[in-house]
Amino acid sequence: MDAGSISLLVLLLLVGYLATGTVIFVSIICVSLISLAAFLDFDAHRLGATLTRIMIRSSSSWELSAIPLFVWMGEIVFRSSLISKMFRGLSPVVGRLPGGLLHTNVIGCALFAAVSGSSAATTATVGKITLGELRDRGYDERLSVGSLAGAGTLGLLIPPSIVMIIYGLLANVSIIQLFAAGLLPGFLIATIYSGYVAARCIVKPQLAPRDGVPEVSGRAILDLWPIVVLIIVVLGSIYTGWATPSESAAIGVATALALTAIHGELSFKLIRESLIAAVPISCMICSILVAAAFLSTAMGFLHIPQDIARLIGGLNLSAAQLLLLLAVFYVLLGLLLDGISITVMTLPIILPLILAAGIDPIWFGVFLVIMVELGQMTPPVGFNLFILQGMSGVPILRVASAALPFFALMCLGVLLLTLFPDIALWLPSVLFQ
Amino acid sequence: MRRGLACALPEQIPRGGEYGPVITLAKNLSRIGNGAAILALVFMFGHIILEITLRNLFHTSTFVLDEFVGHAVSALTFLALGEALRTGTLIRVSLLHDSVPDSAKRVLEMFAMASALSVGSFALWFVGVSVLRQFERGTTSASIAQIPLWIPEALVLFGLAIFVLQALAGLIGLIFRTPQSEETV
Amino acid sequence: QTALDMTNEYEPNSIHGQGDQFFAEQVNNSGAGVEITLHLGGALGFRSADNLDAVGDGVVPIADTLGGVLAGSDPIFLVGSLPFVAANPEEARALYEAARPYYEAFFEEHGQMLLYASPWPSSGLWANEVVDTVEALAGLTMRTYDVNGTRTLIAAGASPIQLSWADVVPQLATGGIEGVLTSAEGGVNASFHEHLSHFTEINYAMPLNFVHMNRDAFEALPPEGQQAIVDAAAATDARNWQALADRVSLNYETLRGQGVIIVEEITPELQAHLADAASVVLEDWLEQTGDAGAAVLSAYGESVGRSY
Ligand code: NA
Ligand code: NA
Repeated sequence: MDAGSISLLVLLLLVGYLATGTVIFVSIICVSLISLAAFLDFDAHRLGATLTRIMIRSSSSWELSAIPLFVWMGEIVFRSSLISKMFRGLSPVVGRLPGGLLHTNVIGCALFAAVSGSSAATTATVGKITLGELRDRGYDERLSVGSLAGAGTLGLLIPPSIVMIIYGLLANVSIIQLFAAGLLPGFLIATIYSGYVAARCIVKPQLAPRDGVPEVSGRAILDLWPIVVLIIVVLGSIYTGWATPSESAAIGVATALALTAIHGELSFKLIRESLIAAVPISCMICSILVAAAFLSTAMGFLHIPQDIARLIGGLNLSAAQLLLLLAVFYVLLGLLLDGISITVMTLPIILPLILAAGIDPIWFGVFLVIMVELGQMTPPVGFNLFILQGMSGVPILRVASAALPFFALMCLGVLLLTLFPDIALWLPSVLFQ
Repeated sequence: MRRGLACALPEQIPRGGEYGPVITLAKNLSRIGNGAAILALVFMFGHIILEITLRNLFHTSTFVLDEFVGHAVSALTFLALGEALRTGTLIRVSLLHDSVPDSAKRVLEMFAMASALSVGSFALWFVGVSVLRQFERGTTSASIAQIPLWIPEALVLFGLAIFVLQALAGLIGLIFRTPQSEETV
Repeated sequence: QTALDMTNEYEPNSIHGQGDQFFAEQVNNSGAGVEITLHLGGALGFRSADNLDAVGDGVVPIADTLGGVLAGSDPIFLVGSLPFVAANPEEARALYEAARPYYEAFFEEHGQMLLYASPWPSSGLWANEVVDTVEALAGLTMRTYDVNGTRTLIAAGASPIQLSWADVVPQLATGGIEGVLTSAEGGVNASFHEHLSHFTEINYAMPLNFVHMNRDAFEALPPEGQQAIVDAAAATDARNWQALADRVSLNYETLRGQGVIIVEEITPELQAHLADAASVVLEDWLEQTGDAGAAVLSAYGESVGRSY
């Protein structure tokens, strides 16, 4: 059977399995086991040994530690008065814009993306802080969940970024230049998102309640200081070299604890409750990542990404045709695979095509990261959808449909990036001449 | 707040019948596992802060940061699985459940729990084989700490064992539960 | 037609990535009906530390594994990264030949066979200054890649730091670390020239990667398939050692083009100082490995005309 039919069957099997209501991580592992047994005749022994090695390898990952730590930080902040203060401070600033506090999702994700290297940590942390508050204030759930699903993915595009580090090492391009290249596209997409939220709320004002917006006063803006300090300390620890991007999550936890102490709110109870809340969410996210790693291994053994990439390579396309086809290819892969797997499995074959077509590898890195971000928003395997379902209780298909406009807007961002490559390439060229 | 799950595992199961003790045992072990997972998170935090301090103030290192923190992440992930399953934090797609009659829903629930039980048991068996082998061979990590590899793998094994027991308890709960009692969840 | 998967965790353009591609092509073009699919960059999900069990259990038939990670199973695998034992490709190869029976026995014991070795170019000191004196090395915060390096640099008065490879570049960019103990190759692959100006050649060590295959998977092949594997392994082994010398000059050329200053000479004081520091590591290793370690070193000493 060819790669296309196999991947379609795996996809259908996974959709069917998930529909039975089996927990997601069990479903993904089950489908991977079935695929390996059915298409490659793996016996029980080989299946079990593969599962064991991949489970232990993918869960004992240093890079993964940022997720539970940032989730914990979010829980600490959530249990203190920092949140209500932040909203009090932001109200006069964004409250007058159409869409009001909905912009805290986009702005919050863009800022937090500058601190964390992964989209899972970004979505989970900002979601913890804003979702409940926006719901309590009567904001539209669809717009609130959708903007988070979209903006949360910016964790990968705005530096630091785990996927960019991996791309840089694989493609032999400068990681620092990649980071610089991701910055403007990241802010461009954030701006598009904010513009869309504002436009929706102008057309339909009841999506964002207008009452209770306080007057702009210096005093209210001062309430933003704890959050500003948190961001400055975490970012500062990275850019002064005190902490690596992977370590910055622990700095975030320490700073959040210090800020609650300054507010006189630090107690054993707060620490205990924040830990009790952080562990199951971390377990949910990490266990799905482990299952996804196993699915990636199964797809790797089935040679699916390689075969399709090779097929594309044989078509002799122009640069524009190639990019269009790759966009479709990556969106399809994004249905099933996580970003790091997509990057690692396809790059050895795709990169030579890109270079041969005369496309700048730094620019392509940004393009690829956005493709990976799109995959976070599509079911059945979409991490931002999983995280938001877990945090908001909104069923996954409703989350996915809420994310759809933001998926489309990100595609618009890719189009702009393709038409105007300087959006990505200008900053690195200025900084590294 | 309504969770993403159509149903968490039953908290009080009078209909567990003679299997009641299994359900109680699963619950207690899940909680212990969760407690250990919390310790793993605190350890991760402490180790990273220690490393940052050592590197910046004393120009030295613990030399085992990514190794130890990696093991802590895997311990957290697996040791918390049982409690996450019990409390319904492990998300799933409940679309079909909401649109089928109660009897079909019950079958789906049982299939879902049986899947968790079988995948969990399968993984438990093979991780067990691996732990035993690491123990017999005395394999250590290649770092300066030379950690015997069976120790971190055994934490994964404990986590899976708790998860399997919890899935078993869930299945027993479903079998002994009448469909009407589902609203109590 | 037999399909075999092969895993390594290195980039396509790295020295190991290219050696393995050469091997796979040799086998695939031999007409023996064996098709190897190489999964580069850890695409299959396995890292070097997983490969011994992954190949032993038949999960992946062939893998390329960094020797150092096997030290937890048998300390003999640290011989390749013993400090200041092998200074150039010829010596590294002699050391490999001396230890080869032990490597082969180890893989045999784990249900596998050693196909070929893939050597790393010599490690040196990457920093923002010339590190050719004892004073320059003192207190320098450097990332090391294994236990031997950490212990040697501690003994030499530097401040070794352990970091994951992905964290190295961000730490260099922000000044969190001042240098890295690795090869010119490693520095080229990760664009160190953007952050560091000097590579000081100290001929520290030339670690090895090992490519090993599951014994049952090999025996399940028809005779011509087995022959194709054995021939390709021998050809790749020869190619890798040959490529090593070319690789070093190619790397140096690249680095000079990028403005990196390559320091090929260090002061005799530093040389003696480093040798002192290394002797502790060497003694400990001999103690750990017992007769086997002593036998390897004396065989190696004989072939290069030194005594250990
Ligand atoms: Na980021
Ligand atoms: Na997806």
